[in-house]
Amino acid sequence: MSEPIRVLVADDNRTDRLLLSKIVALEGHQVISAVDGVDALEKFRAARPQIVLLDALMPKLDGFEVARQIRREAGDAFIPIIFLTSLTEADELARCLTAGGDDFLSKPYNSLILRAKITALDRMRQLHATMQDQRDEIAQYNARLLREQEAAKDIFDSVAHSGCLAANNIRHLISPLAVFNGDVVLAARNPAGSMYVLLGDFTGHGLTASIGAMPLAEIFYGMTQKGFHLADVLRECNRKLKDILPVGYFCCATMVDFNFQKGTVEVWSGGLPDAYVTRSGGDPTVAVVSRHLPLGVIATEKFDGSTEVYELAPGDRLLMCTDGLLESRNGDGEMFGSERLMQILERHRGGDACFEALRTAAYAHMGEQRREDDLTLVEVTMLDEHEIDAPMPNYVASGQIGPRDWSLSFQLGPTSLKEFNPLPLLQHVLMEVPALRIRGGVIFTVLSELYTNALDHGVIGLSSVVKSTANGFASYYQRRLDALNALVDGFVRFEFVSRASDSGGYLKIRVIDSGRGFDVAALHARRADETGAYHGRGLNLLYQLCDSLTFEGCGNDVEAAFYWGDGSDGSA
Amino acid sequence: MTIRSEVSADGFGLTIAVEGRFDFSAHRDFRETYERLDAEPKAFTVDMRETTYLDSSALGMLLLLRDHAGGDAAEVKIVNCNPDVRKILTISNFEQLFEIR
Amino acid sequence: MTSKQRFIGATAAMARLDPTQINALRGLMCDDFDALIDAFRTDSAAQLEAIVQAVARCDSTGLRLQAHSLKGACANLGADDLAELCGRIEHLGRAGGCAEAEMLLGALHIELRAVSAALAELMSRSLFPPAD
Repeated sequence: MSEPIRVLVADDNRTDRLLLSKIVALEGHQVISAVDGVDALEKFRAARPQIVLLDALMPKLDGFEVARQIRREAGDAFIPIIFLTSLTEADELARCLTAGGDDFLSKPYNSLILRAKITALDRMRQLHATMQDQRDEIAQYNARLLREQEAAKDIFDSVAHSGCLAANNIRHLISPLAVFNGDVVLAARNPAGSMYVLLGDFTGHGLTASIGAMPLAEIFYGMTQKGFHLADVLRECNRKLKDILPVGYFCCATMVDFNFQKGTVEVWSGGLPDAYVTRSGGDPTVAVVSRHLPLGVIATEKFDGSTEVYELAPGDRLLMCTDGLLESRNGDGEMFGSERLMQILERHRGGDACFEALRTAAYAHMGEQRREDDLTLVEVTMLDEHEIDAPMPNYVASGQIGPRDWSLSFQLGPTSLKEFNPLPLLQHVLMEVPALRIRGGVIFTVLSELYTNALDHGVIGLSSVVKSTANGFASYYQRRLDALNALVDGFVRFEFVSRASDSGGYLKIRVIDSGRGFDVAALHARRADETGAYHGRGLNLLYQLCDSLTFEGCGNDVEAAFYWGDGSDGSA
Repeated sequence: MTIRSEVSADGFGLTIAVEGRFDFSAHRDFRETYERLDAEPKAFTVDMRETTYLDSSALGMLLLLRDHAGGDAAEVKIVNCNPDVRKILTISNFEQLFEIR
Repeated sequence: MTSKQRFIGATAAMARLDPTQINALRGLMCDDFDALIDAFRTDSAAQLEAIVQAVARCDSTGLRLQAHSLKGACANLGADDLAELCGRIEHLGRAGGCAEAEMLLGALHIELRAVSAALAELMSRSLFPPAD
């Protein structure tokens, strides 16, 4: 005997009704009787039986119509319907089932058979109900997962897509669902005003692919803001990713340093397809090939941070993409490919329309196979410094007050000069002084300029004239690297003095190098008829940025000063 | 995608051949060729003669193999690469970690 | 009544009712057996009247429904001959044959009266005693 349930018995003949009710009641079920079709529907709505026994042929509303209505009102629930019939033709019996009945029972009623049918159908009903519960549970679980993914996406977006991506010289295409394909684009300015942009493609898929983007972004933004060099940022990123990612997981990346003052872009590429330098002036497009392993593969000691430098005039661009674009397929299974990409670049030769043309072509190629979730493209344009519209970094100092009267002497010998970049550290110290924070960018630029001059021209003795020749940059950087590696003696010393009071203060930066100096007077004379050569620009820049600039000794001793307020230390 | 493997007669070398697409679906089979071995080969060769396609998860699997084989001290060769496979390995600069032919 | 009369009555009743079915009903309904019989006797008389009316009006739908309903009840009570007769009338009702249906009305009357009488016998005493 099965669990007691409510059974509706609808038959217009009293005799049949009595008989049926008895059979059903004997099984332990609760019987609800109805005398015709209309009564059957009313009783159904009121009592919500689990099983319905319906006479096929009834006055007012026949069984078939009642069955239809019951099905409709039952909605998702499964209410078995057994048609009671003394119809004998096969097609009439079949009609019982097609009209929405689940079984039929012929007259004369056989008590055993009816009871067996009720049991069997009730079992089906319970099975159906169980499956619906499971379905609902799954749907709820799914909805929760989707909400969690939405939240993850928001966190990802705020970490991985912040910075200065909205700058007027950056255009990018990245899927709103990039959190699931592992692509990340980061952009930020460093204190000197240069723009670092990193394009990354993490292996794997789903959220696990993107989890590495969090620490990567933290390191990128943190170190860029402090003024670290491209290679240092990448070395730290590589170290972190190697640390946290399992073996076999890595991040293909290309990182660039756009220096608007110098008109150069420095590039490091590991594992991504070729990036392209396109020039508006008609020079051929240059492919920037990946020369390094992706981030997170190799140990820190073996990390190679070597970069390539290209000169760019305003209007020239660098374009980078992940393999999603090149590997996207059209309806025939053909890939987009790098030839197609090159053709579009050639056709638009460094022009403004290039990016849009590329995007249109990519979508056209994919057509209905459209999978935008794997298309990541970034274009960075070289502009004059004053045309750049992108926020500069904010400094967060460790305390409110900072040091008010202090001095610092910091000297680097040959080993340090080879291996260590002192600028971020020194900048960090200077930024502890509240009044200097607002001029952080300027101070960093001056610090870099003084250091570069002291090291390159002072200690190493390179002439900057080389840079302005055709192949100048590449060969300059190579020679610099060689000379630096070969360094056995020499030094660069920084001396800082700073005083601050409530009414004002000053910072003096003195940089002394072990070089032979230069003809200061001659340089100043040349400066008068400035032709735009790099070295002249450097000196002009210093004069513009500092409140005062003086050369001592044989030119290997420079002091730059900054004043604020009444410029005194309050001791007057 | 099928993976076949063979240990050399002297037990020192293991050759793994990947036929078809070398992608995420190959993960378990690939690992099993070198993880459950009685022999302890010292030299590993991945034969790409029949490999039609390689994606980043395949690169990951190669790194796992190299790690298993001793990391920096490992001897792992990747041979018989067709141009497409070669291209992908070149872009990733894997010749810095593997001997590629 | 003498036992001989009872026997003749029993034979006549047996010819019109299926003993297996009747015994099953008795076993099923128990104390409600009489109520079931009573319901049938009352309702079937009314249904007969309705059939006569339907034929007179030549209402083929009404004729069909009533004959069908009665047929079902008859079958449930083991009155197979009567059920078969109702079936023929139902069929004629579908085909719209009022005239032919009228010709069967006489037989219907007789058969129903006989069945009703047989059922009445069952009520007052056990015509088909259970086999013990």
